[in-house]
Amino acid sequence: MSAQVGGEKLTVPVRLAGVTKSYGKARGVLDLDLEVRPGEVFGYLGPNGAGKTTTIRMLVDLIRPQQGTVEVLGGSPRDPAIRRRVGYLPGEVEFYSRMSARDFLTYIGNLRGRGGDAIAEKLSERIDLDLSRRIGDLSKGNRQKLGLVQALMHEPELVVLDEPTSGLDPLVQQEVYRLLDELKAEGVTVFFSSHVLSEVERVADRVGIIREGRLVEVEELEALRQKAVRTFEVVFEDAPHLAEFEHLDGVRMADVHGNVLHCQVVGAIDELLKAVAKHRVRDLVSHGADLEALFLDYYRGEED
Amino acid sequence: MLNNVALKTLRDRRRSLFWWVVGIFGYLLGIGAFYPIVRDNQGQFEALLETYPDELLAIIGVGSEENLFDPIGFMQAEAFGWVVPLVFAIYGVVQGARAVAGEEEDGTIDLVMATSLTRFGLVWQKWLALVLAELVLGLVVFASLAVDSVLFGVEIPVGNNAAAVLMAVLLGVFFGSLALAVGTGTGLRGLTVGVVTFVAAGTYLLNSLGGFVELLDAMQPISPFYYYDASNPLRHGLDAEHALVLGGLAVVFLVIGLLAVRRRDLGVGGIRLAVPNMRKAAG
Repeated sequence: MSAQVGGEKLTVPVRLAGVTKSYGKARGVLDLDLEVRPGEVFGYLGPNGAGKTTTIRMLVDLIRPQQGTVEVLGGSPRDPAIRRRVGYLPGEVEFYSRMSARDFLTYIGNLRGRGGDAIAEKLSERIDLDLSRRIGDLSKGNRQKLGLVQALMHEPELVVLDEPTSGLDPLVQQEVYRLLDELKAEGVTVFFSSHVLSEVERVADRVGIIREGRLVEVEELEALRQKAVRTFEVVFEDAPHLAEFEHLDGVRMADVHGNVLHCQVVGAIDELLKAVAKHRVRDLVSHGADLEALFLDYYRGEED
Repeated sequence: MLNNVALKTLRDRRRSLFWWVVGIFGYLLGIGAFYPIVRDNQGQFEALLETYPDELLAIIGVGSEENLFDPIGFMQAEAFGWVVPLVFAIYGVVQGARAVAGEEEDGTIDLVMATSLTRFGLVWQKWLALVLAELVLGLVVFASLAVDSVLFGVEIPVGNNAAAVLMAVLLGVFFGSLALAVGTGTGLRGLTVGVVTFVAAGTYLLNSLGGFVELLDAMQPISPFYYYDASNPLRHGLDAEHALVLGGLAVVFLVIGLLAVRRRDLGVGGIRLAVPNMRKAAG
């Protein structure tokens, strides 16, 4: 399957059509349609248990759909030749703890028949991963780095990462974001899952939101930002009037207690800031777009 | 050793295999060292054995009409009647259960199967590793008997030694393949070890007691242990038919394993068949 992009014929990296995979109660995915564009970083966002891992494991043929079709790089993930061109990092990555990191990479490279030792060495050096160590002795962060190296060492055309930063300390998280940026610059398509909105905002071009096995929305990141809810807490020198804020564009909920304003804003914050600036401001705290609030939004949308 | 799944699996098993080797070698050497004492005090031992019930002797693999005091009878009674087949069978069960179900439970299956390795390749190479490991154990038993012969005069013709060892290897491969099939079909290592160990223990008793309990006598041929030693290969050499039964069934189990893994979801902790492409039903 191909699409015309920039006059060049490009294979659609991921295409799910009517995919259903259920494990009984509240797990799995339902009638999923999804297409990832060549060269984009696609964030697959949803709370834990929403069906992210189920989707991802279908992309590498570890599990198979009950209904619908899964297409990866124009073929079936059952085809070994297709899987060879995909890099995959599982959510809870497990290794052979007694092997050295280097031996493990050699083994995986051999199974792929596509080597990649040289790239693995270079990449490991750059992200400060000691390949001579026994995997069992590596920290969680270093094991995650090893997982990334094995997913990237064979220069895959599609990289599929299941919660790549989950449980990592912020420094390693930044490392992961940098790697994703580089992949994007090289034109590699990335499909990654997350339950953290800010992370998706940081790296994704487009976002798919999944809830209870259903794809609720697929949007450009900009459009999503427009919908995101932010909470502001402003402390003034003097007590303002609620009326100054509650009808402003984007303000959804406002509340004044003494000299403190609490409000929620959807999308643009320009009007609010200008109204706030008319007063002497002692402090301003903004809570970033909250994923739960965002999901609540979609709930409301469905009920209306 | 990192070139493919079979070699990698053997590499992973090298430590545990080493201890199995040490154990069986030590046991056979110890038994061999004991032989001259038994031979030189035959009368006293015969008197002792008189006091044992036949059923007990059967369970430890001593046939009532067997001569226990020539080297072959002695080795049959002390090693090939029970310790050797049980070691090969247990080793087979443990390795067969670990083969695929173990990797699924450990979670390592994800990275391995996301490569271009096929499911067919995974299962058959795991089987190959099992066969090779059992052969290593077999070679060690063969060598131990050769050492016993030189050091302690437990003289057993090389051909008979090889025949008995081959049957033990086939028995181990039989149970290993059964465990591999069950483990590959279910993805559950613990369940597999339990079920196949139960089958092994049951069929072992069935075969041992078959000579004494009339009801069980007719059922002996359903026990793999029957094919292992009914023909007494240590004394009479290889019974090709019995060898083919064990080897043939092991291959059947391999095929079952290969078929079972084709349609399963991997690493989901249980039996789940994936039913491909029922798009019409999706509406």
